[in-house]
Amino acid sequence: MSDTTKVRVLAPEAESAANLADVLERVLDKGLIIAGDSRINLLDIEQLTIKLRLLVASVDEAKAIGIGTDR
Amino acid sequence: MTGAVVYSYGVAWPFDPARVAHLRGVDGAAVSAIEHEGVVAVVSTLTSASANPRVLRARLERLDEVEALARAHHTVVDAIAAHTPIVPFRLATIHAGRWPVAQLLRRRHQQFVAALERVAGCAEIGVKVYALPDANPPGHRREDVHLDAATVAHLVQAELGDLAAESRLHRPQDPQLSGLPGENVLNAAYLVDEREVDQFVARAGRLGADAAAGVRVIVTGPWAPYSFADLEEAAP
Repeated sequence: MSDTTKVRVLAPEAESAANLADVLERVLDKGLIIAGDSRINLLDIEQLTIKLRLLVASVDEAKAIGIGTDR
Repeated sequence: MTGAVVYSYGVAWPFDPARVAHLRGVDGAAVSAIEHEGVVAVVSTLTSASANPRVLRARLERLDEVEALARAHHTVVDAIAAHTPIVPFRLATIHAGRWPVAQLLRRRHQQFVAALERVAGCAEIGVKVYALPDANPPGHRREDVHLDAATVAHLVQAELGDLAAESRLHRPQDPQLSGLPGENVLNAAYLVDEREVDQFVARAGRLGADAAAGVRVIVTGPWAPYSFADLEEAAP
């Protein structure tokens, strides 16, 4: 069970399997939030998430609340 | 090792440590597993600079730093997903040591097992539909392209939704991030049985090929099941 090798296919239509927007969308806005563990979690992830998810929805809004884009 | 601040990427079924020997996570750190009763947390140790919440918070206010962190996080999740089911955590899940992570595994054991069982044997496929009004096909107005795109979006949801175990609709992406022209009218994620991924992707490709001029279907993946990493919420 622990070592089942997964099939890795790259979708033929894929532009690039992991472009920045898709990676940010998933990593910043999806994935399990370990809520209710703030005693041991060093960052307030939920508060952070509100800011970061804005970044995915609108770069302009994210800039407005202080997420810089020194790129 | 004791007391070192730990970055967690997700929970998974146990895997052979040799599989991650080469893997480097956030700040280039080696990746390891913390196990409790058949569930592991995939972790790495943060450098003392990164472990400072103030420093980390400041990093997360810069897009280039967010990108580096997100890519490091994704690289580890993706590598683990190639071997064994994983339920990814949100970016920047950080604990004050390995012991608190072990506690987390103990406290949420049943929830983690349920979440893993739900995604085991499945991959996430992303499907986005774009309207490209600037493509300006002859005799087509801007409104027509949007109408056509809406039609394709409905087809995608109906046909691909049937093939998938579960689906999620995400907010449309900002073109500034995606760098793609046109308007993102549908941004969906599907949880698909690994054995049916080829068929699913082929069907999505066909919907794209059959779409009217000015409408584009973009398929991404397979991804680790980021969009289906929930606790407790039962599958419909």
